[in-house]
Amino acid sequence: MNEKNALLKDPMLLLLLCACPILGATTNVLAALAMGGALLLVLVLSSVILSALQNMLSRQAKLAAALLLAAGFTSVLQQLMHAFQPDVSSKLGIYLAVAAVDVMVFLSTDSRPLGDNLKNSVIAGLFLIVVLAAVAAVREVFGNASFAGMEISFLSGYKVPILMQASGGFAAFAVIAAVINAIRAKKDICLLSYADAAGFLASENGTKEEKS
Amino acid sequence: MTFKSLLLLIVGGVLANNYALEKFLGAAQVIGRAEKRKGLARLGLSVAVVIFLTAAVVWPVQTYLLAPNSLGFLQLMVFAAVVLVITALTESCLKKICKEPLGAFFPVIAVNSAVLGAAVSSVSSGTGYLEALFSAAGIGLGFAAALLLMAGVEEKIEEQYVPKAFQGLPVRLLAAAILSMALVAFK
Repeated sequence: MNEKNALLKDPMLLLLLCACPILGATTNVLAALAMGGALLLVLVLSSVILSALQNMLSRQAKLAAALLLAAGFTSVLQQLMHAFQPDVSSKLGIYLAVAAVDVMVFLSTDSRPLGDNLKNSVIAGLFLIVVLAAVAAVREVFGNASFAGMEISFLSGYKVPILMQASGGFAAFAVIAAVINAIRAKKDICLLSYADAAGFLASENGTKEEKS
Repeated sequence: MTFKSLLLLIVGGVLANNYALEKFLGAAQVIGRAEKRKGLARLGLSVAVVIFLTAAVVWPVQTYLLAPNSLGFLQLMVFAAVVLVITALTESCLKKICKEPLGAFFPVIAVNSAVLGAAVSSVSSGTGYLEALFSAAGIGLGFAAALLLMAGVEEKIEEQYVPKAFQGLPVRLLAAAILSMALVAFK
């Protein structure tokens, strides 16, 4: 198949499906970059193994295999992060664990060559790192008057503490998503429903949800 | 541990500690749904049942199998497998009882970060079995409530003008931000 992965054709869908780590791990830029790196690593490793197994598994087995692979690699990353970067690990908390669930959405369940899967995973992972860093920068700079833990003294009197809470996370993510939306300058409403994404997962052909 | 404190766990899970709107677990599913309310109610209840059953299974697995044998590093994989099995069993039961399979909801539930997040938090908080069950019930009902709340908000959004850059995901995120602010009042 030469067509692009449906998720990569619509970055909004990609952002929606990864809303959990984008919202949960962006109170600190370092934590956001660590989460982005973890997601990229899990994506790439899982897609490599899944590509190797794709011809041996049925469609439903691919879903289970993708989830277990992502969970396995996430467990390994959790242990490594806990051992070598306990501060970052404690900041990420439960969001690193559930990143397994978020990541497996991107793992292609249709029969693509390894090169395509790898390329799609790398592109998705790098895009997520950029978005995570952008949201974290907005939240930490304006919400906590700091950047990657370093205090920005001239902003300390102008903090907006709500940005560090849940509602601020949603708002900051909304602004970044709107910027991405504006840059892409799509003519139609670009949100695909989660059912479409689920259908993408369940279908053999990933082009089911493409807009004409 | 009194009955009142157990009930407060449920109420807390629905309001102050709503997993979708306060902890972002399951936020993608809550923000991204486009079905009618009946379909959303069915999805919400299915997720609530899966969360409850998952907590019921993972707590003894963690307490009596993984922790005593120093197998904590397998927690995530075991929990993911449990979620898959329980979702499949729920689908079979729904097919037999209601004649309505989960269909496209199956991967949505199996890939739901709220389910895995609830499972992980029910064992990490060091609570008893009953508390874990009631907490999971609250989390599941909170997810269903968040789904229905967002559906109501989206109906109103559709009637209004939204700038092009904010159409779709951004305006839904802003709506979720306002809902989340409302829930802070219950903390």
